[in-house]
Amino acid sequence: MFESLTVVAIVLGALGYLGVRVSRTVRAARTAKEGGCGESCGCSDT
Amino acid sequence: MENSSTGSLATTGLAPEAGPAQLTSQLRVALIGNPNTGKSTLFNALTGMRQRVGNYSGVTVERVEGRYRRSNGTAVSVLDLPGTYSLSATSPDEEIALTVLLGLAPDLPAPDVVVLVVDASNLERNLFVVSQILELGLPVVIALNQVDTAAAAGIRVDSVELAMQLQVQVVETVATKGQGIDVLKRAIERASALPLPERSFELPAPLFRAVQPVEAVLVQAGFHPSTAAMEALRLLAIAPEGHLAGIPGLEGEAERARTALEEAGYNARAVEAEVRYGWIAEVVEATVHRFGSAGSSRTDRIDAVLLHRVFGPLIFLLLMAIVFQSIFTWAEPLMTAVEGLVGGVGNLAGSALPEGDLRSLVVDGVIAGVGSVVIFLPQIVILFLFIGFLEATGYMARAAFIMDRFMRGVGLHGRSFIPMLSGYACAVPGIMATRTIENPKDRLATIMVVPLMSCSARIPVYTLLIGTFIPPIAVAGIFNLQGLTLLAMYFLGTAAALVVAGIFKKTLLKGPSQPMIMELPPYRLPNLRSLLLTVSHRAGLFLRRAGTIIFALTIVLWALATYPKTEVVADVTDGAAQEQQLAGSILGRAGQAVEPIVRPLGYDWKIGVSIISSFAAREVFVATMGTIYGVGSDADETSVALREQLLAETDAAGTPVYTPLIAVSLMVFYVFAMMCVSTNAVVVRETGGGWKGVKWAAFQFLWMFVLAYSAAFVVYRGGLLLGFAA
Repeated sequence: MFESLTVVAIVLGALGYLGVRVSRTVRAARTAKEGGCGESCGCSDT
Repeated sequence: MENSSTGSLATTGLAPEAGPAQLTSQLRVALIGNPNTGKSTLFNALTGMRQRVGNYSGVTVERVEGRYRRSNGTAVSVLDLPGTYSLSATSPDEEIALTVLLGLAPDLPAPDVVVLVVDASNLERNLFVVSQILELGLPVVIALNQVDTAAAAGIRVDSVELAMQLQVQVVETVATKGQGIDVLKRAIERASALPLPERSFELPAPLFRAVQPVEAVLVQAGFHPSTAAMEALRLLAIAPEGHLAGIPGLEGEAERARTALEEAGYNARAVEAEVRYGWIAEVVEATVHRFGSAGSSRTDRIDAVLLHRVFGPLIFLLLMAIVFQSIFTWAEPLMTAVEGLVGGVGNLAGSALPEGDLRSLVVDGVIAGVGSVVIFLPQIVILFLFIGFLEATGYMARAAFIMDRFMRGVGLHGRSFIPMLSGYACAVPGIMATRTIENPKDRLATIMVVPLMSCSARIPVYTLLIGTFIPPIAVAGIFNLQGLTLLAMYFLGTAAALVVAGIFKKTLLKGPSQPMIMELPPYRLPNLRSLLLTVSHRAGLFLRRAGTIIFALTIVLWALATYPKTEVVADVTDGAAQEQQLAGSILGRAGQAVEPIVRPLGYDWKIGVSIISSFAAREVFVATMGTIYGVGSDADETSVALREQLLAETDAAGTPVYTPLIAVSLMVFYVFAMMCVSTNAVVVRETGGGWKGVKWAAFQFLWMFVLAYSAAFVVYRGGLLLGFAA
C-alpha cells in the first residue's frame, strides 16, 4: 500500500513538474517577453 | 612589448591617492566594449566561476552577471554588457547597453563604474564607443586589453598619454594571461572618487547651435546635461526610439536640427561620426606608436593558408573530421566508465530496494532512462572543448568567412552564419541570434533552417546508434568509419539548411541578399581557464536537463510502460513475460498503434514510441529506449548497457531488429525532424507571436517532418534495394 502510494506520488509529481515547464514555455511564446532560452529549455547561452 | 608594464596604472592628472569609494556597500560594475576585444575573457578573469546567465527583462538579449569579493569581504557585481561598436544604432544589443548605462533598464540600477574594454591593437575603431560613453556622466576605467597582441603586431599604446587625453584611468591588461587584473580591480575601487569624464572635443559652431534645442528637450525630460549632449548627437542619425520614445517635442526638434545642418552644408546623419573620428584621430596620433617592420604579420601569414580559396575549405573539412573522430576515440573509455558507473548504481539500487514497482521505477525507469542519456556527457565535453578551442584561437571567425561564400551562393545573408553556428549547440539561442539580421525575409529564412543544424541534443542519438551499429573500420589509414559517419550527419544537416534556405529565398521569401563585413580577430593562444569555464557551463546545462526534464519524463514513461498490469501467462520464461507486460502497457499499445506509420521505414513499435516521446526533446529518444529496455528486461538480471541490449534484440522470427541500415535511416530522420518543444515555442515568439507565429512554427514542423520521413524512407528502401539488409 505504502509502496503504491509512493509510486503514485512520484509519477504525479513528475507530471506536475512537466506541466509547469510546458505552461511556462507556452506563456513565454505567447507573451513574447520573459523567458528566453534559459526558461524554456535550460540552454541559456548564445 | 614589455609585459612588465602590463597592469601599470596611468592616473595622470587624476587623484591616485583618493580613497576607495563605497567600501561598505556592493559596487556595481558594467563591462562594455567592441566585440573581439577579449571582454568575455576579462569578465571571466574578474569573476571566475561566480557567474549567472539570464536575459534582460522583456527582451531576449543575454544578460551575463558575475561577482568577485573585495579584500574587505564586500562583493563587486560585474555585468557583461553585449559587445557593441557604438551606441549610435538602435539594435536590441545597443539599446540594452545604453539603457543599462543610463539606469533605465527595469530591475537594474545604473552601474557605479563602467569598465571599457579596449583592444590595444585597434585603438582607432574602439575609441568610437569610448567617446560616447565618456559623455554619460559615469565613472569610467579603460582596460587597455591585448597589449601583447598589439606588441606582436608592432603597436604600442602610450597608456599614460591615453589617460591624459581621456581624463580617466587606463589599465593595461592581458586578460588571457590574467595580467593587470589586480590593478584593474584597484582602479575600479578608485573610480567613483575621481572627477567624472566629459566630452573632450568641441563641436563646430553650426552643429553646436543645431543640437542645443534638442539637448534642452532632453534635459527637460530629466536627462543629465552630459547625457543629453550625447543623445542629441545620436538623434541626428536615428529616430527617437527605445528609451527615447514618447518624449514630447523631441522628434520635432531633432528634425529641425537635421534640416538646419543640411542647410549649413553638413550631412546630418554622418556628422556625429565625423566629429568623433576627428577627435579619435588626434588621440591616436598622440598615443599609438608603431615599431618594427611593416611586413605581413603572423596572422596574415596563417590566413594566407587557412583562408586560401582551395586549401581553406579543405583544411576546414579535415579539422572537422578530426574533431568528430576524436569524439569517438577519446570518449569511448570515458563512456564505458560512466556506463559502468550507471550500471553499478542500478545494481546497488536494485539490491537495496525490495522487489516491486518502486524498485522497477528507480532501476528500470529513472536509472536506465536518465543513465542512458548521462553516459553521453564525455562526447558533449569533447565536442565543446574543440569548438571552444577553435573559437578562442580565432579560427571560428575564419570558418564563418569560408562558409560565407556558400551562404551567399544560396542567397542568404552572411550574418545568418552566426545563428547557424549557434544552432550546433542549440537551436534556441541560434534562432534568437537571428535578431541581428535586419532584413525580415533573410531572418525568417534563417529561422526556418537553423533547427537543421545538428544540435547537442542529437549527440546522444547519433553516438548511441553509431557506437552500436557502425563498425570502427579504418578509412584511408587515418580516419575511422564511426567518426566519418558522425561528420556526415553534421554535413547533411548543414547542406540541407543551405539548400532549403536557397529554396525559400527563391520562392516564399524572395529578396536580395546583402554583403557582410566580417572582422577577423588575430590568432591567439586560448586561455585554458576560459575554455574550461565554457565547457563546464555546457556540461552543466546537459546534466541539468538530464536531471530535470529527462528525469521527470522517464518517470512518466516508466508508468506508461508499466501499467496496466497484464496477467502473466504461465509456461513462459521471465523475459517473455516482461515482453508481454510491456506490449500490453499504455506505451506498448500506443507504440503498436503507430507502428504502421513507422513500419515503412523499417522501425518496430519500440522505435516508433521512442520517436514520438522525443518530440519533446531529441535525447528523450535514448531515455525512452533505456526505459523500454529497462522495463522489458528480466528483472533478475544485472543491468545491461542499452547498447548491448539493442545488438541482441531480435523479432519473433529471430532476426535482428536493428541493422546498420536502420541505424543510418534513424539518424537521417533525426537530422531533419523538428523534435524540440522549446524550439517550437521560440519560433512562435520570434516569428511574430500569436497566430502568425503559430502558423510559421507549424509550417516549419510540417516541412521538416515530411523531409525527415521521406529521407529516412529513401535511405531504408534504397539501402534494401542495394543489398544492405543486414
